[in-house]
This record gives sequence, C-alpha cells and structure tokens, in this order.
Amino acid sequence: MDLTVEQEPGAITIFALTGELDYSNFEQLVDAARQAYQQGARRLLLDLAGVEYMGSSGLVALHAVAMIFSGQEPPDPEEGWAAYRTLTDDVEGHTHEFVKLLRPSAQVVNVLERTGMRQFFEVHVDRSAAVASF
Amino acid sequence: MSLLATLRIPADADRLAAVRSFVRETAAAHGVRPEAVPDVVQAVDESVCNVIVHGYAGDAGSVEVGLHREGDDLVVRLSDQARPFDPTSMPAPDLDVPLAARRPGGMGVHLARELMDEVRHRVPPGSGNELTMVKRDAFGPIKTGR
Repeated sequence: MDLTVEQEPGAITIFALTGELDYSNFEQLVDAARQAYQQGARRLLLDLAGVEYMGSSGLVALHAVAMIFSGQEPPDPEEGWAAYRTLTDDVEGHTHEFVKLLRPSAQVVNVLERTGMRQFFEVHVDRSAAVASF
Repeated sequence: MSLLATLRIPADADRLAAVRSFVRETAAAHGVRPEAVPDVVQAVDESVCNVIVHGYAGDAGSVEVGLHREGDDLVVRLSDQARPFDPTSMPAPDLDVPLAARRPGGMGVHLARELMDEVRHRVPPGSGNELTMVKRDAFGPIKTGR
C-alpha cells in the first residue's frame, strides 16, 4: 500500500491510498494519521479510489484513525473489537465528524456495509464537495 | 471433486497478498465467474489471516490453500497445524447495534460466512485445522438478475 499526503486550507489533510490494505500494512495508515494529527491536522479525507482491496484489518485502521482525529489514542488493535468500545461516544448514532471517505471502490463499500460500519462514515464521490463538507 | 491448484505459505501476514493473487489467478484461469471472485478472495484472505494471527499467534507454521471444483461449485480448503479452533462456532455479530454492544472479534469470520455459501471446520487426524468454504455456482452462467 502506498500513501501520499496532500494539504487543503483549513487544516484539512488528504491521504490518497493506493494498493491493498490488509493486516500486513494497516498500521501504516494508523501511524500516518497519528503523525499528521501531531503535526496539526484536524480533518482528514481518506481518498480510497486507489484501494484495490481492503480486509477487515482496514476497518480497524479506519476506526483507529477516527479515534486519533477525535483526540483519543486508539487502543492496541491486537485487543480486537472489544477495545473499540471506548469509541462509542463518538460514533453511536452518527458519523465521524473529522474523518471522511472519498471514492471507495465497490469492494470497500461492500466490506463497510457487510460489517455494519458504513453508517459511521460520510462517503463522498467528489473531492471538492468532500473538502467543503468539513 | 477435482483439485485446481494449491498454495502453501509460511504463517506470515506479509504473504497475504500472495494468497489473494493466487486465488484471483487460479479463479481466472479456470473460468470462475468474475463477479464471484472478489467474495472468494476476501473470504480466503480473512480466514488465512485469522490462522496466522490467532491460530499460530507468532509461532512458525504454514497454511495450505487448496482450490477445488465440484460441479459448478468452487470449494476452498484451508489446512494448517495451528491450535484447533472452529471459527464457525463464533456467534455472528449483531450489526444493528452500536459498536459498544457488539461481541468482540470475529469480523473476518463474519465476512467469510457472509461471502461464502458454506463454511465448515473440522480437526483432522493429528490435530490442526481444516476449513472448507464453498461458493455455489461459481462456475455457473452469469446471473443477470432477471
């Protein structure tokens, strides 16, 4: 998986991901998000157009990234989904405010929907509209 | 049931991409319906990942992926020597409730069961695990939805 970082006005950062997101590399995304947040980014748009495959590890990464941009340190992913109980206050009943998705493939959308995670993320198809939505 | 191809990998998450490529290429070479391939790729990826991460849990070992054809069905058989664990015994997560109310773990198992028509587990003689997953009509005619 490759990740390129772009900046937009308003402390909006865009990660453009390409390749396959699985257990072998999902922590790269989390680490990049943590680094961006520490450097002042406060809104993150994940451009997933180039992601050819996402496993369930990618879901863990998406939630960890959402936690980081909510000002929380995500739990150790090895602890599994139980650790994500702490995220509840941020996600229950509404979408993440500071992390949004752009142009996910049908496979990525399928994974989000089949795991019930689609409801937690705002999904955009147009980059300008996505940036303006923050 | 006829064997199409097998792949044996060490229990290393860095080999998951090779597993996915193997499934895609074997499926394409043997005429699996294109719309069925992503489901099979994901089910295999999630299941092999579970064996590596939770079954072997850092110990050395290997996983064998076998792809078979039985009539119009594609049958995937995963074999390993990790500690016996039956993923089909895990309850399905309730996707209608918030994350906090869900049982931990099992997203990969849930996806495999969602994407395949049948998932069976057994402990073969001598221990380890054998997971069999079936995609029905994977070689059948393209469905138009009409």
